Amino acid sequence: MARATISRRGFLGGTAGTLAFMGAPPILGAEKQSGGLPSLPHHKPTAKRVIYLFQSGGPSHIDLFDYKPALEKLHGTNLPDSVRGDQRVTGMTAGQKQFLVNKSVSPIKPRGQSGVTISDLLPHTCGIADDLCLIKSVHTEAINHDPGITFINTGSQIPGLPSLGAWCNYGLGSNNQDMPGYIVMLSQGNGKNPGQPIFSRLWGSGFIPSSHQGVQLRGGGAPILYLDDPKGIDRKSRRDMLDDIARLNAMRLDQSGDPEIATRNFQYDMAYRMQASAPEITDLSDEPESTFELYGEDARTPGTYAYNCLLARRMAERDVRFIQLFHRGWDQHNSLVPHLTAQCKDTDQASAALVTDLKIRGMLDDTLVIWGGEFGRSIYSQGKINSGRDHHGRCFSMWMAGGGVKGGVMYGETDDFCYNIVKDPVHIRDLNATVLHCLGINDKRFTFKFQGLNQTPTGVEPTKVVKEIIG
Amino acid sequence: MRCAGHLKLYNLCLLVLSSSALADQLEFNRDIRPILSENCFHCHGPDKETREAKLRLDTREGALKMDAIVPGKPDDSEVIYRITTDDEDDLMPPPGHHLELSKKNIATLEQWIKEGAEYQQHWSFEQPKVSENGKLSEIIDTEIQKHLKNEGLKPSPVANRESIIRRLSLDLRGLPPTLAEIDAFIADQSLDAYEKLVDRLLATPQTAERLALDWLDVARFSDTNGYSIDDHRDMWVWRDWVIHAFIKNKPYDVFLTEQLAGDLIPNATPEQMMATGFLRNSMNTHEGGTIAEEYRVAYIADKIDTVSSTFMGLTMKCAQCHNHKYDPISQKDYYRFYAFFNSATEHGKGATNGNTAPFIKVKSPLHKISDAHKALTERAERIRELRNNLKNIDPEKFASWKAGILAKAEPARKEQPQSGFRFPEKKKAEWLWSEKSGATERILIRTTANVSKGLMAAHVFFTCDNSADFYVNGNKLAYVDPWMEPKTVNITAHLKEGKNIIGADALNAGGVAGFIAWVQLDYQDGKTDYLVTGPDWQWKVPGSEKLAPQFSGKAGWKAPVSLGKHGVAPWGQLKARKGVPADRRLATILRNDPKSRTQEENKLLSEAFLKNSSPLAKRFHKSLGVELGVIEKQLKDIGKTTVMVMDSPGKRKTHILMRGEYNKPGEEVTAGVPDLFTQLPDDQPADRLALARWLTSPENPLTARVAVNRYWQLIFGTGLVRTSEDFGSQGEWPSHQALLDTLAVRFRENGWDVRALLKEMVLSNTYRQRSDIPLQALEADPQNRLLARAPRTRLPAELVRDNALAISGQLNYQIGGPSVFPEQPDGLWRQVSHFGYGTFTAQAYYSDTGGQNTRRSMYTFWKRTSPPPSLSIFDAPTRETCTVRRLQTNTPLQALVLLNDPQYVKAAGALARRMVDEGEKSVKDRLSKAFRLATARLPKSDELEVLTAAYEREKARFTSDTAAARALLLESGNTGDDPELAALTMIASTILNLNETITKQ
Repeated sequence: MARATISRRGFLGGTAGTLAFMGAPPILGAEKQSGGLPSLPHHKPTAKRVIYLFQSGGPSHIDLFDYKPALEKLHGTNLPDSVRGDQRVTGMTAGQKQFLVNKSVSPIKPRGQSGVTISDLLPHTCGIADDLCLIKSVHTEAINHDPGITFINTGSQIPGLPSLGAWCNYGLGSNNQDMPGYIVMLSQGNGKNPGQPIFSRLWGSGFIPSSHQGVQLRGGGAPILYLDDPKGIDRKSRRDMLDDIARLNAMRLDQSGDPEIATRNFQYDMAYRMQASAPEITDLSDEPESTFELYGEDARTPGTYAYNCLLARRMAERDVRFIQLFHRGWDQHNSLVPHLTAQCKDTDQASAALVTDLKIRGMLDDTLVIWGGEFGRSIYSQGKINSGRDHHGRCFSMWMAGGGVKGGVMYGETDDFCYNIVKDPVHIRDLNATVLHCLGINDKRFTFKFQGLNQTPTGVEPTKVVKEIIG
Repeated sequence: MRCAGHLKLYNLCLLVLSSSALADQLEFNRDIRPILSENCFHCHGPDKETREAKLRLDTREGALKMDAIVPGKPDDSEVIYRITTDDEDDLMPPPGHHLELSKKNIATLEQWIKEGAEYQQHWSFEQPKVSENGKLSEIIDTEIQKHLKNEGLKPSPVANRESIIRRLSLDLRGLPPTLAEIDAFIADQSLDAYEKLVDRLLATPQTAERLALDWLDVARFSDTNGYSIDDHRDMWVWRDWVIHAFIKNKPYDVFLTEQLAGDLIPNATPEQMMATGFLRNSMNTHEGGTIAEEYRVAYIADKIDTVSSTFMGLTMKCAQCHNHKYDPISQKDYYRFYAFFNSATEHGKGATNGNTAPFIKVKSPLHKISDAHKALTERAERIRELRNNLKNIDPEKFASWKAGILAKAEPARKEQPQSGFRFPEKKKAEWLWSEKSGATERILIRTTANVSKGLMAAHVFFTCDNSADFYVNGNKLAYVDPWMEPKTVNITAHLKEGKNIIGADALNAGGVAGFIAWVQLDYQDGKTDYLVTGPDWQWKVPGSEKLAPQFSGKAGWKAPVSLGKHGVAPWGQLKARKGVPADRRLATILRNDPKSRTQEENKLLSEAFLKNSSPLAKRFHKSLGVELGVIEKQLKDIGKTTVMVMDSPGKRKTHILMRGEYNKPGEEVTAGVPDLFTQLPDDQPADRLALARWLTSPENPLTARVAVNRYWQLIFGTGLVRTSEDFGSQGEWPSHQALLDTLAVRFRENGWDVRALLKEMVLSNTYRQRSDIPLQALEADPQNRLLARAPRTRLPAELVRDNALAISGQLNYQIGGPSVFPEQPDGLWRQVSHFGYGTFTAQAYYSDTGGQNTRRSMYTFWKRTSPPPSLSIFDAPTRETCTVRRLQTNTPLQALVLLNDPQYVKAAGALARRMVDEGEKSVKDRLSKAFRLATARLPKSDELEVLTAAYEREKARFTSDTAAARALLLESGNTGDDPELAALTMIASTILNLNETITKQ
């Protein structure tokens, strides 16, 4: 009743959307009620939403995907200087006298009908080989975690820029008024615990308004910060109180004519709805037993990767635009075999389950799933053979599935040492441009003016959308 | 063909032109430069590296050279053909660039060429001209009204006194006025009442805090190192320096000079040196594998970004990799500027858990050592306590560990003479018998033990004068004789959930007789129940059951006689034996009421528990130990605290870095300012001090303008140049250039006096207008750039919280000192940090208790990779890089913070208490007062009706649901279940959530 009494004058300002700006650039003023820019999409999208399974720490492309039979013979030999070239090496191995070639610690074989190459360490992923587009030629300039993970998520090694998810949330808005458009979930693997730190800037909004930043879903407690009413306030009394607030605000609106007040009333209503809709996502009581057979028993435990994968599917069903998981622990400088095995065990089943599940539900067609980390790992051993691998940004592997990307495809090739790219390089900027392309966005035409520049999600360098992998 | 197409378009443009606002003479900077800059300069601008067809359009000379522009003749100008042609090969900007000139812009360009295509130096690079004398506040009004008149608008009437004092107090102090201040101002009938108020507020230390707050964003102040592990650093003394500078109203030129070059001032004082912490607030890293030089370069780039945005309103960033595309700043200019900062010894690899050299030890200029000492001591105590109660963080593991210890301490024998076991004295048991004389020789005595679910261990401690058998549910478990050697028995295995009968078969051998017992039931959840002998026990004379005493049944049981509490003569205190083994000692502690444990006992428990039982507890133990170490070091150094500073041994040479890459040095350069400006004098070294002098010299066109614009932004919400970080050619044209220039020149001439500047701004009629938005004004000027009304803006994040703390009477006004840790949801840091790995600081958040919880938000510990959530949600930046201007959003997450963040729930509780405690008796008076505390005005009758109805509704609800009342009061920091207080809490929360409460209007 009263919450609907928003003065006619309230809507004249044009800021009654999910955002209201004080002195914002004109392009923002035109934002639609559901968020998103009227100029988007630029072209017909192949994906409506993204689920980004970010594997933090630098998963080893050598041990998981990039199949090189030639390494059997080269194992234990010194990496030729001609291969290393002028490659920057991190301070951790720069002082090594020898760079001994270390073949994959587990067999990698062609899988499925398509022959996409996957390691024995990832048996469930082998089962979805024909749905995957494996890109073996991703590359980055970064050689350490902080710059690397900041680069791939925000387009620059130096902090301050918006994350890819924030750009998408800003550009496309959310189709679900009751949920944030960009949700982030974190988990820690058993391989290296704790893994390298991560940072809120990875899902931050940089210079675009903070309402577009990723909302971090919590493993325990209320899924969204401050979601739960204090004890002693039930739903009805909360509703009553919000009605009081709306009524009092509306009186001020009549008096002052400030459209911002109408927006605030709208946001309070949305908060109330979010209080109901967010817990629905984490309430798994409606999931049949078969769900946990598919995702694994871990999916019952909040905070695990498997649980987060299951939640990602539930969010996708509710049309959240950009869902990003960060799973830590892929930094195998030492204890390569046990730690990598543990990381794979944590993630393999649930990653594959998510793709399978989306496919069964007919959602894989318009959901782009991405799996990968900030860089790969070195072919040469850090220390003794099989003990560990250093970072390697010159080439690494990532996979995508669904969202208009072709399945059962491998793209890009590296040399015999998984060291340099020999065919079809995909810079992480190209990768991000390709993700945006799937969402109907041309990365260079998608701009936000800041510090006098039309900033884009991929910076000033040219990008190339990998059209070959789009079906 | 060419002409035909051209002309057609031209006609169309004229139509647009005649109906547009281009009636005035066009001005290059205002009307033309933005169009050229946006669409042309990228390829035809100052950067010769990327210049196409050798054509530049940013200078008149360049544009005329190739007939690109023929003054007076748009038809003959190649530029016009190129932007209007249908021929895709000729069209500019090239279709691939995704830029498109609007018809209006094309018409503007044509008009400008027709008028003679006059160029101007970019406005902000020219000296500000000042034509106005007279009082500044009046000049503000004259200039604002001139523009209003041009647009056919009128200023709004003056706001009422309540509005004015609230606005002024929020702007200057960042806090609402007190009720006494409001009353005094309303009552003050003197002509200069307002000016007196302004002077009084400006002189408060809270104003210094308010001004410092914005500077923390600009200076990217933080308590952590920023990159990677993001451990702590000690820079709070620098924050104290800033607050102190504003308390002293340090002239802006001195403020600037000391922060840029305090170390280079001849005979620099420690305070001048510590000011350079401004430059050292850059993030740094010690991530393993980092190539130090790469990051050293990044730190300098960050300093350039900060200095150029903050003091010059210029973005030099682009020129790090290539010549600037829009502003006349070359890559060489960039690296000459870089050379000012390149000579410092700051290393690319940052220190761990603290400050990276160079740093100095200094005393806080705020001289509040005792406050800081008290706060740190309290925090150390808090950390110690957390460390000594690690059992709280892993309760499941603790329960199983505890059971293990108890089992080990109690071998599984039925009867066990016990030592080292003592029941708490406060549970006083009574000596019982059938009568005082002790004539009866044998009695049965019993009680019922109700055992709940989750029993972990149960013991009995008993004795009898002269002897007794002890029974549980009919089973004989122990025998005692003589009374001087009481027995302890583990009876866990014999108890069942529900009712159990516990009893004794007691014998006397003449004279005084008595029986005493304690039963302790330990539950898995840590709860302990006691059953002790007392009047609720029963006795009877055994009948025929001589050999098998019967404790069940009702017949014959009577109330016993009490012979006195434990300790009475002739028995006195019963004591356990000495010489307790470690596990026994632990077991004893574990059996004690957790609340009665001493700190030493807790410490013993914690340490034993984490030794091999809980990896999580171990991590916490380590982490808390590291934090404690930091605090103890801070306490030790409290007189002199380290702060990072700049130095300048001047040995390192500077090269242009090709494409901005640290390992691609090019031409060597020396320090200097960009070519387009007046250069540094030759007769002094080109160092940071020379840079500071250059910035503050009367010839510098930018520094004063940029500063006054930022203060205008603080007071009026939006700068006269909206893009307060960018006064370059891509920045916005000032809404009132003449006013900006006058303010800038007068600011400089007036000794860079910040307070005087602020005073003039708030004394203006423009500031004192009403902020209501007439419909017509909203349509004419939705963003209120012309100021036909006072601005309405939501408070900045920190002030949203400070305001709630002040309204509820909780605010701790302590100024300066180390950062504090107010309550935030558990686990946020740990979820992203390196918690558990190594010994790094600031990896887990340990909130404060007590008074430090309610300090102003500017003192909240700032971790860059996980900033305080309730501030981030209200648009606080991450402080990773320089932020000159915050954007404002309005989101559902903000609603959730104000409704549910425990800090705001507690504020509501405190406000409710305040309504009760401060003397108002009637509900209406109480509600009105709370409303006035938040808004500075009394509620109107319809508002009061809503509040009163809400109160009555909530009171009725809480009266019928006392559990809800109790729960809410507990959550909001009160106790009991008073439905009135609970209802007031709801209303208090309602008031704190009002749009008006968080809005400056």
